[in-house]
Order: sequence, then structure tokens, then C-alpha cells
Amino acid sequence: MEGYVVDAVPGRGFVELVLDGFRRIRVRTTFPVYVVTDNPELIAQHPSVSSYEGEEWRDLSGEPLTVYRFELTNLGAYGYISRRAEVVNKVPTVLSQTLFRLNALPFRRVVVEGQRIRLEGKERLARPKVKVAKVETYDWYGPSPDGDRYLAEVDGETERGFLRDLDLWADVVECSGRACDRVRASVKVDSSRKRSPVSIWGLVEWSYVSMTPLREIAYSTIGKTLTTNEAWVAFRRKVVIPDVVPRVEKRRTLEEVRAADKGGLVLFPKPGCYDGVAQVDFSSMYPSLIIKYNISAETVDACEDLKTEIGHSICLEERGIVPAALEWLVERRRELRGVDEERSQAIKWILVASFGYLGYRNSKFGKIEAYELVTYFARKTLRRAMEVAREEGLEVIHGIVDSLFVRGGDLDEFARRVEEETGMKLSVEKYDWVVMGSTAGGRPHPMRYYGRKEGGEVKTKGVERGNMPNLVRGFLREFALSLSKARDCSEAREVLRGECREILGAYERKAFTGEPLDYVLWIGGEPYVRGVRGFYNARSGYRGRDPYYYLGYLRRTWENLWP
Amino acid sequence: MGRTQPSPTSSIEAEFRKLYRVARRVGDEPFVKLISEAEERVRYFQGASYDEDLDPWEVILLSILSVVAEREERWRGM
Amino acid sequence: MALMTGFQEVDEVIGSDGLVEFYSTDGELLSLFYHRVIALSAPVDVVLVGERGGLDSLLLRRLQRTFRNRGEVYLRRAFKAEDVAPTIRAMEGEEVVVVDPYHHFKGYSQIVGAMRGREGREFVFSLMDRERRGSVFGLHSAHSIFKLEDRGRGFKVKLIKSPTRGEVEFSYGKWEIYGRYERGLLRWIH
Repeated sequence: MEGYVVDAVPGRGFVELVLDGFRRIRVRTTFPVYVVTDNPELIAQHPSVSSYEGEEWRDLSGEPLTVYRFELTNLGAYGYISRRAEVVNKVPTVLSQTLFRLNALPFRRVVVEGQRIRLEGKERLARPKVKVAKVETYDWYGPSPDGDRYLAEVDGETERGFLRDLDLWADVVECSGRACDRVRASVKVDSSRKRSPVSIWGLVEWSYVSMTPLREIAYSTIGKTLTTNEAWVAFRRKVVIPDVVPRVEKRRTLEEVRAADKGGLVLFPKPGCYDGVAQVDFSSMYPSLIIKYNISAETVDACEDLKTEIGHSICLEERGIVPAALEWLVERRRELRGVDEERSQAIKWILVASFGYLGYRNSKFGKIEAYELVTYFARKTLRRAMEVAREEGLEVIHGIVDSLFVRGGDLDEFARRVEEETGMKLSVEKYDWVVMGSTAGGRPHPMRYYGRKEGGEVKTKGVERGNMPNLVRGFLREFALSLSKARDCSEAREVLRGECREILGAYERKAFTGEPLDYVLWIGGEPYVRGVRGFYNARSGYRGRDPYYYLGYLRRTWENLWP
Repeated sequence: MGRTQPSPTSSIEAEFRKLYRVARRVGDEPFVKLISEAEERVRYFQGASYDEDLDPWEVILLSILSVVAEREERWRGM
Repeated sequence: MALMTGFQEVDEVIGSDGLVEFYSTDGELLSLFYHRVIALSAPVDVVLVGERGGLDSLLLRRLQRTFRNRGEVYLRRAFKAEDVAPTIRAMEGEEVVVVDPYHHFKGYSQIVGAMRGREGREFVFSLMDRERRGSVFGLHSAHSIFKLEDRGRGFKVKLIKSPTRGEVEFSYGKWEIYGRYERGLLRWIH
């Protein structure tokens, strides 16, 4: 039988592979569990243990460690052993380790001949030929698990209708509430339980790169997916992946901590409008720095190949686990870009989280010193880029972590020099004009701006917030559209004083005369409306609104836009 | 953003609040005005001193001196 | 410098006790208090337990200037529960200040074990009501225990447990936390 591996179900002495099109096939196997113990014979007495073997592994600091691998006929015993012994290598999951041994990797094409499985096909970029769908149900205020209308996306086609008429099958489906009962699929992902911002195809990509069945990562956080990827690097190197890693920080003076205990460089730009601005970004700065400087928990302070001013050193003898994992992911993302935005974006999420995760207390391959090194190099890099900008005659208007706003001078020479010196890629976006926003009091704000890109589209940042009422969002959309006519700052000012003021006026009236949907805002995943007696949940039906609340919101938003 | 120490922005804001309280108690209106002007521009000094070992009140002092320097320049120009 | 609070009566009660605990439900008060202790006792080792915050270097520097103490403050942070005990054990210095060891509400026996197993003295500061939360074993292990209570402009230091004294309480003004300690105490410590 051949096909794509969509899911795998463990059984007694076998695993049942679920291929595309609901086809199933059983393959005999046992399941590995790794234990650090002085009494392997005791554990071997469990009836589900069919065999065991001692293996020489290493711990994170490189010291040799004997680990026993027990082969279980049934996964039920895993929990039992886990509670009574020091089980390691819990990540990647046992099931994914089993599939790895069998060559039955998720979302790859396999050929099953008897008990042997062969990986087929070299295509790594094309979408696996499986049917993937997403179904959402709607109510008057927007998406709702109890709605009676549905919107389905299948293979790029959209379908709408009443829920009672829905009849859909797919290999993988993302659904919510009642819609999940009306679709037939090998793997169902409940939207409301998802803890990541990734689309269903994004989850398929996560499953592919993590070599873990979709069912096991559907509700994972980005951090867990990242850890799985890092864990595979460790696993292949026979470095033991512990359950919890107790860490002891290096002893330092308070001053030394103070010098390193900082985030990225954040400047405060002078509020106002600027003509002819270029936004220069370091592409994936933090992952690039981690890769460039080989920053990982086990490389930091392991030896002194590279010393730094903040007191930490980096060892370059061995490729760090985190840089190795990220390098692969960066390459994968690069390949997917231009081929499949959705899957490329899913990888981007992992990369974005990789830095923060280095400093996370529960991270297996990170530690605070590694985190501090990354922010240190980030600040140094941005400062150096600012110096080069000035040398090339550019005016630096704003700088924030991995991005600079500049104008004038020789932009190309500046970009070339920075790329050469830092070894990192830059991406440049040109703007006809940019307004640096302010706080309510007119003071500089580090992350609020909007401007017209060369080509006419107006981009805003730090202007729209997640919990804004639809009314205000609508205003911002029309605001951006109207500003897209302005070719420079003086035209922008005219539009702001003229047309934008009119749009504001129209929306201020809408605060009194709008539709129920205009007044909905989402807080913590729940829809609300502000009524005269306070906020109420929209799920219970529309019960009027307090127009002055929405009016105030509009006005405050406007004040933040034009300093 | 630091893990352990308070953010430079909030430390500077706290120092300003202290300064205002003291200046108001003394009843020195021109000084209160000076502090207010310094507060308008302190973020630029904050950004410029991010990698230096400057205390929040040192950053504020620089900001106040910058206001004084600008006034002196204007006065001289007259 | 030895571990001290700089409040004469309190330090007299403590004497040379090896493990002393201060607790309070008032975070600001406790924080001010242990900043003072650290500033006075430097050079000293500090273990900070918790994910964020805990030590204000500016405040510490100001206090050290007031007390004319240039001693170094050494720091190790323990971000998660499993880090606390090994971090305390790793502090080889004589005198250690531990800030909020029971912060994560678990791992008590290892944490107290680590504190008891050390050679030098420890001052522990807990942000919780120790009559209800945190390690009971830790309470037994402490030689003296003080509760800090906010009283508006002032605060009270209540002696809860001591090998030498019965329950007693001392009152101070909050401004005294910033103030210099008396010369008499200096003589006494040396």
C-alpha cells in the first residue's frame, strides 16, 4: 500500500498507520522508553517489556551517561514506568520516535510492503497530497462554535451554507463546536483548543518538520514545537534529553547582572511626519544571531573561544543544539517562501519564539546567559548599523530591536556594508512618507507609526489593537485607504485635516447609528458589547450599546494618530 | 526588557514624579516648568544612553541640562 | 560585614542565629526591608527566587551610599522551583540572603535541606503569610522568625519565634529603613 501518513494509532505490539483517504495498515513494532537506572532488571520485570539494552549516551555538558532502552509491547506501560523511574527522552514523543525507526514519518509519502516501510519521493516542498479543510461556524457577532451557518475552506475553495446541510470529508480538518460533528476526518483539530496562531496547513507543516503526528501537536504551544525540533538534534547526537533541567546561574555582581539584564535596543523617535523614509530590517535577527554565534545552553561558558563584554563566553568546538535546529528551520523557511506562504509563516512562528524560549525557565536547551548573549549581540549589531548609517550620510529617524528607519544618504552602500560586516541579511522597505506616532500626551512612542509604502499601500503599526471594537477598526481601514492618496507629508497633512476628519465625523455619528456588529469587541476570545450599564457578552444577544464609550474610543484613537 | 531590574522607562518616570513633588513643595514654578520641558525630551536621552552605565536620575539630569543649554543659546541670540 | 538589619533591637534578638526568616504579605515593605539588609550586609551573596523582578540596583546603590558601604552584592537567580535548592547549595559564601524561597509553592524539602546544609548564616525573606503557606519544616529550621506589618507611615517587626526571647514587637518609621544605623551597633558587631 502507498500513500501519505496522516496519523498513527498505537496498539498492542503494532502501530496502525492511517494513510490519506482513510486507508489503514498495521505494522508490527515495539515502543522505546529510555530510563536512567541502576536496576534495569527490576523494570524489565514488567510484563509489557519485551527486551532492553544499555546504551552509551551523553548528558548536556558532554559527560558520558549509560541509558537503558526498554522495548514495550504496549504504550500503557509507559505511564507506569514513568511514575516509578527516571524516564528521559520524553521529547520527541514515544510515538514519533517509533515512527522514526519505522520510516513512517508524518505527511511523507511511504510504501508499505509487508512489514517494511520505505520513504518515497524526494519532494520536500510540495504540499503533501492530503485533503485538508477548515470549517467555521458563525453567529451574528462573528465566529461562534454554536452558530448555525458555516464557512468551509477545502483545497482553496470556499463553501458557505447552513450547518444542517454540511456534508464534508477530509484527511485533516480544523473545526469548531457543532461543525466537528458533521465532518468526517482522520484527524480533527478543535479550533477552540488550539494554543498557537497557526493555520491548519501550518499545523501540517509543524507535524512534518517535527516528525510528530499532527494529533500530538495540534494543541501544542509554539514553544513545545520548538523544543521537539531541538530535541531531534539532541536525540540524533545521543545527547540525553532530560525531563526537568535544574539550572544554577553563574555568580555575578549586581552590576554585572545589570549590564546584561536588558532587552533589545529601543529608541524613541521624534513624533511627526517624515518624507522619503526607508525601513531597514534585519531578517530574523535573533535566530540569525543564535546561529552566527553558536548560542545554546551547552555552548555558553563551556569554554572561552569567544569572549564578550558582558562576561559570558561561547564555545565553538561543537555546533550547539539550538543553532543546529534553527539553521535547518531557517533553510526550510527560505525554501517555502514564495512557494507556500501559509507553511512558511508556520515556520516563522517557531523562529520568532526561539529567542524568547532560550530564556524561558522550563526550556531544555536554553539558559539565561544564552538569552543575555543574544540581546547583547542584537544591541551591538543595531548600534553598529546606526553608526554605518551616519557614515554613509543617512539620517537615523528610529531604531527598534532589529529595525531602523533612515532617510537620505547612500542607502544601497549602507545596506551593502551592513550585510558584509554583520553577515546578516537585510530587507529594505521604502516609504513615501511615515508618521511617527505619539502617546496620548504627545510624547514619543517607540512602536507606533504609519506610512505609505512605495506602491501606495498604507501600513500601520501599533495603531490597531486586538481588542478594538469593529467600529474603530472600520475607521482605521478607511483612514488608511484615504491616506494612500497622499504622496508626501504635506499632502498627508492635508488629507488628515480634510478627508480623514470627515471620516472620523462619519464614524462618530456611527457610534449612535451603527449596526450591532459595529459595536462588538473581542476580549480573551469572547465577544462583548459595551452597554449603558457596562460590558456584556454578545453571545447572549444584542442588547444595545453605550454610544459615548465608542465615541471616546474613536477620539482617543484619533489623538494617537496625529501628534 | 530586563528580567530582574525595573524598566528604565518606569524608573525614570518614578524619579520625575519625585522631582515634581519636591519642586512643587518648594513652590518654584519656573523650576516646575523646566522639569516639564525636560520630561518632554527625556526619551531621547534614554535611548542614547541605553548601553551606557547611567542611572535614571543621571539621564534626567542630562535632559534638564539640555533644556537649560537651549534656553541659554536662545537668550544669547537675542 | 555580617548579616544585619541595622535595627539595633532586632539585631540584638537575632544575635548570631544561623537561619533567620522575615516574612510579610506586604511586598513593598518586605522589599524595602531586604534591600536595606543587603545594602548594610554587603559583601553578601543573594539568591533571588522567581521569574521576574526582585532587586532594584538603583535603590541598593542609594542605600549603600547612605550607609557608606562599598561591599559587593553577588547575585544568583533561581527562576523555577527546581533551581532553588541547587542554587542555594552553590552559594559558597559565608552569608547568604535568600529572597522568597517558597515562591513556587513546591520543592520545600529540598530547599530547606539546602539551607540547613550550608555552613554560613542565612537571612530568608518570604513574601507570604508563613502561618498559612510555605514550608512548615522551614519554620522549624529557622532559629528566629519575624513578621513585618505595614502601619501606614511606620511598620512593626514582630518576633514570632526565638530561642532566647518571648514574643515581642518593635515599631519603626518607614523613613528609618533609609536611615543610617547607629554607631553603637557597629561597635557591637565587630
